[in-house]
Amino acid sequence: MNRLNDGSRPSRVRLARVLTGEERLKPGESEAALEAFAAEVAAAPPPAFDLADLRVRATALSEAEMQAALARPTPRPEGVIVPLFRRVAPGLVSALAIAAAALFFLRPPASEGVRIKGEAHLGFDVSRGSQAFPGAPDTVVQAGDRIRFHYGSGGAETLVIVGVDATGTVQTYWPDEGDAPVGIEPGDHVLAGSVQLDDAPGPEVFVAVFDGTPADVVADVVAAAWSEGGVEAVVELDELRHDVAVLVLEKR
Amino acid sequence: MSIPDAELSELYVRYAPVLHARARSILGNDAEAGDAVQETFVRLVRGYEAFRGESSPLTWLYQVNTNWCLNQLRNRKGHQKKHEDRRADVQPRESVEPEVDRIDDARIRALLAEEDDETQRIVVHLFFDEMTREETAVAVGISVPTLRKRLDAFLRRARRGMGLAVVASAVVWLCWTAFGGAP
Repeated sequence: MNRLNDGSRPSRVRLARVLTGEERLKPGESEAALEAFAAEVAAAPPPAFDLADLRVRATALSEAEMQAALARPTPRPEGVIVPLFRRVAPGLVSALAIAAAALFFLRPPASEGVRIKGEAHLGFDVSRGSQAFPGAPDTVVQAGDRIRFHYGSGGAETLVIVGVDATGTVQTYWPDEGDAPVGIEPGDHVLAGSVQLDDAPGPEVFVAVFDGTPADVVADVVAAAWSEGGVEAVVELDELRHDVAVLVLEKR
Repeated sequence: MSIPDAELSELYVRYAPVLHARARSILGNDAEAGDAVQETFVRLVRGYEAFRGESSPLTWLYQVNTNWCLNQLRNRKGHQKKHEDRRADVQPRESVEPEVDRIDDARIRALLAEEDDETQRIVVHLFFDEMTREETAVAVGISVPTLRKRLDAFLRRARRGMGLAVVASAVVWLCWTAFGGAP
């Protein structure tokens, strides 16, 4: 049996719903799976019900403990950033962008044996007033914060960073000038310069490409993705190639 | 308003067994699973007003149960860190081909404690609740591609850990044979 459920069997949550009477087994669903689950549940019974103990302990529970108990998953961040470098108007979302996208995705990925994704990566640090701290996936940034990128080369030799903001405006952050990808040193390094956040609303996504694709091609692909499906589509570029990293910031 | 005794008793009889089975699966420990059930119902008594608005008791109870179990795993990991070096910093790269079926529950539990909140829930739903990717994406509130990305990253970390285990085993074996322990 595969470890991950491909839909060929009911989940244990589904079985629990049936076993507790919340739902009924549907036609075609495995009664054997339900019986096996019921046997497993019956084999290891829970502690005996103790009404008085539950009520006493509930009284002693703090508000913080209750909030922690009811916490929902923390979503990954979205955010906005103000460019310091140059802006590329998103006027190329057309046949040119489609051609560029095809060129980008039909190219072979980085050399065999060097699986860049998972090794090459893009991160950021935040400077807020006199404070500085490393950015994390759940870091919430603010207007006025300065962001400095850092990367791990992971065997890659070049880097392009392109961002797209809530209005669909595409900005090339790296390289600073021209479209040739920036050569990078092996290992972990901080990129020179920083960007300062403004109070503009909406998310901005940063796309780092490590395979030598020129910045103008990356910008066209990002613009096309944004036009196609907004932030979600840009984020999903990460799924399509191994040598692309996508970073999303949340701003409040 | 507090939960009536009869309703509390009925809910316990109906849901405690499945909660216990799930907690055993996540925590890998009977005693802690028993605690997880008790703590979940303590929070039901305290949070009855919020619970009453839920259409599915199981959904509410599983959420509370998940939070408690994940917190236990984090506490467990924090305790271990007092006595262990942080091995992840010296793990070798890419030494074992990852196969999901080879990652056992103990390895998943150990990794879970270091994951972000969203990834923890994804892993619990996929590996312990045996939900499909699509069901998990809905439960966590993300797209399926995003879920795949998180899962892929988690499996890469698991693979690195498995690589370390292989290297450690090889070192032990070499030491054993070098010092005459082998037949």
